[in-house]
Amino acid sequence: MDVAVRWVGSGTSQLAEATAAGADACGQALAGRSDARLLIVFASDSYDLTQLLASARATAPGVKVIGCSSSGEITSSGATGSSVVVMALGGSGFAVATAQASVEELGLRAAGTEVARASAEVAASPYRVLLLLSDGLAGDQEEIVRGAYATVGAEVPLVGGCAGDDLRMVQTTQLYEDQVLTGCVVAAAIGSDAPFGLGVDHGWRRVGDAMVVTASEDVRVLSLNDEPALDVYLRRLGAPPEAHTDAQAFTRFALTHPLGLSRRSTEEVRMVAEADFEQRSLICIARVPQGGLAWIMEGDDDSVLTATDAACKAALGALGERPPLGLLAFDCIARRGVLGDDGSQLEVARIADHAGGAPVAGFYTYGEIARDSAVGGFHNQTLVVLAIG
Amino acid sequence: MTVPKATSWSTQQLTEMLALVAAVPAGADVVQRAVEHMVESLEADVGAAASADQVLASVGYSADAVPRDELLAASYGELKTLDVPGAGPCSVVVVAFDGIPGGNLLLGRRLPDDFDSEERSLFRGFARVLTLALQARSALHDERTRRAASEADALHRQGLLDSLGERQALLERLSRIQRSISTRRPLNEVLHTIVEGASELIGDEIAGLRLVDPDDPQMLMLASCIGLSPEMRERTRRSRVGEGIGGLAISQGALIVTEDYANAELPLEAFTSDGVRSSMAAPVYHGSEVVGSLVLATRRSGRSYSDTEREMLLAFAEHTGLALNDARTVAALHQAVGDATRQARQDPLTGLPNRTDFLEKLKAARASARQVSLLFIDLDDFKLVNDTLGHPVGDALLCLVGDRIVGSVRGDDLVARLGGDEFAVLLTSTPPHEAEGAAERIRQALSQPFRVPGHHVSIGASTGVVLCSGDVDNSPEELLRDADVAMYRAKALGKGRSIVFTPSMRIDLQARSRLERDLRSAIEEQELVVHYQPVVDAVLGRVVGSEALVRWEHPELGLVPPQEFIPVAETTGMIVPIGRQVLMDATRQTALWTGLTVSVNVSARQLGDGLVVEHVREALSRSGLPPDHLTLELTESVLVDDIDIAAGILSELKQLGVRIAIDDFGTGYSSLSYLAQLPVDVLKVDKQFVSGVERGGIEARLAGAVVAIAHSLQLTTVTEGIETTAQLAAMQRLGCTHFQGYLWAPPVPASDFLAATSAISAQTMPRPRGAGPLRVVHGGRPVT
Repeated sequence: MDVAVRWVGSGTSQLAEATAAGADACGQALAGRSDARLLIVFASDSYDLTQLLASARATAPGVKVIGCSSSGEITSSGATGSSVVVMALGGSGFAVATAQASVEELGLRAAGTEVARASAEVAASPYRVLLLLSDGLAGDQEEIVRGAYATVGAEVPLVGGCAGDDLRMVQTTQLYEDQVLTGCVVAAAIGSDAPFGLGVDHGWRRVGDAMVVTASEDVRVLSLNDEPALDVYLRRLGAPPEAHTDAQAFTRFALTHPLGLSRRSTEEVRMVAEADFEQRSLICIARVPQGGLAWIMEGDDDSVLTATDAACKAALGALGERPPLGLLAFDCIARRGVLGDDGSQLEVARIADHAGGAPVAGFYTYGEIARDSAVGGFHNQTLVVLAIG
Repeated sequence: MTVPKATSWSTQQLTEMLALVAAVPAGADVVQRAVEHMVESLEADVGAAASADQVLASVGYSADAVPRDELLAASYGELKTLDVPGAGPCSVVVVAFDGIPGGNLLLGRRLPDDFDSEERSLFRGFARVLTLALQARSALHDERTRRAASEADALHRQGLLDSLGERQALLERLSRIQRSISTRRPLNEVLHTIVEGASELIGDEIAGLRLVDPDDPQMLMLASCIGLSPEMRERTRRSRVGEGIGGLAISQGALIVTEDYANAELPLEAFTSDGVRSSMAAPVYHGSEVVGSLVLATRRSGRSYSDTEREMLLAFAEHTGLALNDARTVAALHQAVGDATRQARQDPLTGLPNRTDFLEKLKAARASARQVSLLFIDLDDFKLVNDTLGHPVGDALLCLVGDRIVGSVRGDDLVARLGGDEFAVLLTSTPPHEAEGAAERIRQALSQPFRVPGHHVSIGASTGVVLCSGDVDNSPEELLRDADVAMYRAKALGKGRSIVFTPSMRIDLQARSRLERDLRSAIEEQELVVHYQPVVDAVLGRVVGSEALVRWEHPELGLVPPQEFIPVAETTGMIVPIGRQVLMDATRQTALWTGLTVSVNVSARQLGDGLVVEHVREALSRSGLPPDHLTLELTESVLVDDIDIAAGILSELKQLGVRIAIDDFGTGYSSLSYLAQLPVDVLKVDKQFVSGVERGGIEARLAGAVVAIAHSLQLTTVTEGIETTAQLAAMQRLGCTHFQGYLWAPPVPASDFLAATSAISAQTMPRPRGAGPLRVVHGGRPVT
């Protein structure tokens, strides 16, 4: 039986003005409780995030904060946009340490290594998790996960996502205490008296024959089957004419047509973020190794929603009989692309059903982080669910 | 999905690994990156790279809590599972990693999930690729260093650019192979892609893939090749394991390189006569078994192979192995190769029927229920003719040999050339009991000198005979193999003779090849363990050290006696890795038993392979064992084979500070002059002198003589095989100071050693009889 108190609350606001929205969402999450340990803030970058952060901090003075900009928010009551969602963790049964590191200054791997050190500060807790929020536009995010894993090992599961910018793919923001950052990774090491559960699933399946990645450099796929990658990609998928020339149109199209890479027990999905029309290459959110096999992947409402159920069940299953105090969801923006607005509401409603009344918060991401049970680490076009037991 | 996991997944993972190690920037920790990749690729929880006493890279542990000792123990195979915080108990798989001296790579995955055989193969492939990458990086580093030293010398800069360019080209080539595998191209096309890629990228005009014939594991088939004329292809379609560069790569399981083909070990005469100058071959693995080799060759003179080129060939060979890694592919391959072979029935050189034709005619003869006999004829020392008189003479001789064999048998009998200098005769019109007579006629015909252009050549032949009555239902291939076995027995008995096959020969051979195969896997699976037999000191009255003896715990057969497997290890060369392992284990273990000494046996093969000094140095530096606590035991036959070489190596070993013992002294050559020439410290008195010594008589006098020799040369004696207190007393009377034997303890596992020594009773401990004539012993450490 737990002796220490632990609670999780969430709040959301669609008020247009940043200060008001921050105070509103934060106030709901706290619900008058004074012993909050951590605020997790996901907000549209249509807000002035400096003001929003200041107002959240003013509502909960002295409480640690991390957060990031998003491309749509997930709340207990549905999927939203141009809004802010806050999750608060409180009570003496939680221990929290936060950290931030600049990818530009340290490099991806070292930034991951650096922020993961925070987990040592909560080592006294029987259960730990490291929440990472990073800038998906700042290079191969797998390296951040590797850096963090090198610090904590299998002992501390890693979870989180890459900040969004409402699909403009220009600049994302990370929030850390009173700082509004870009090109950074922010982290919260959370210790708890009760377990956490992690669930990961994507719901994409292969279409057509395998292609060999005949040339790639890091996140850039130069050729598939010895042909310029962009040409193969557009031709195989019968992409609409505008996707052949317009960057935005390409990104929108590519959202629902990721690449799949063969892994031991699953397919790793790689989001195609941009096209280089000059070089005829594809730019992904994570490294696509040369020499590997790649498939074009497709999904539909059914497969994506089946994956939603699977991820939630896996996360909750890890808690055993214990009901969750709250669920954090990191859902790829591309899945929202497949589902459309109605489908997304359906998906979030399903997550809320699984939560069984416990608060839900999350956002639509540019890449998801989940490393546990030897499963990969950095994911694309995937739903990652953290159940807080 | 149309591509089986076995084919595409492994090759893909390996290509990705190559791409990864190639992309890691200079200065970064490539081993750490590689371990991370292995952990991710094989979905493991932890991974590590360890040398003997250091964990060089690890993944999966919190950075400040890497359990060094546990990881080292697991990498030695002492721990089969690891308890990993956050993951719980994990099954462990370990592979040798030659990229660092004495290195191992380790992966752990949470139970109950274990690593399957394909994953283990892939893991071994990873280790090999990483080793190669490290070697190439060190070559690059050297190049950079040289460049800096010579003020940005333009040539060096170009060299650096070339090797980076080559690496990219390699990856592109491998991607193409990957593509042909993944798109399920016909197998011959896949193999052709590999062979062609190796040839073009490395720049030799001849390339071929040889695979072991599953029906006749001593023979190789040419599965794919480019750069050879149709005649050459036919001539080299089959060859023997262990012959030619490709055959050596298979028998030795290593990269073989020669830049002087004609003078290389066992060249194939067809290639020498075709003008091949340089060649290299890399083994192709299927799991842990060598199943073939990828061979490159050129007729250009002055061709030498750079490290990068060697690395590339190994990478291609690694890919070939994984491409073959599914049974369907291998089956299809044999079918394809078989089809091609069947198209030709005639030996192009002699015009005689070839092996295929011979086997079919044999089959037909058996079907008509006739009693038949088979002769398998192999010329003695034919290689010498090729080497000394040239291949045109060799070829002419083969034609004449064919003619004489034909002339020695009846018109209905069938003579065929099987390949190389092997001929076969199917005797259908000769009653079986006369087959030996036919063999003798052929032997006599061949013993007459041959006149070839410009020379008279004398050559003999060894013949295996199979007498086959109608009630034997062996296949033609089995009959031919039996004849081959008998021929080998004839060679072993001294050439120039014929031997009739008996089933026991086949059983011997099968048992031996099974033993060989099992031993190979035993090395991989770490079934070989070291046992220690205590050595007691008569002066101190206590145990002062041990002799390390390798033991094989066969999973099915139990403990295999060393006299059964050591000879096999010797002839196959496996004794070298085994010897090294024993040296490492024994020194490491003995260093833990502070103050004790250990002696380790060193075989002729180890002494001959040139690495023994390096291995001893490595063992000492890794274990921290004081050099004078290690004694290397050599048998006298090893030493007298080539006394100059032996003396050179022994003096290098002595410089390391170790002690040298002569084992089994007096049982063989017993030359006093070599004893005086060599830096020997210890003479071991063989147990054959001990049995009966207590009764006096001739045994006692012989033992006394051996001990006297030792004393006159101021050598310490260690007497083996003491079983009774009477024997002990007799040997002590002769002045022996050190003993081992069942009187005290048999060889025991390391874990039982201390218990065994403490159980040695005071009654059996030799009583000091004075300090002996020559020795002072101090603190358990012999000082001479």
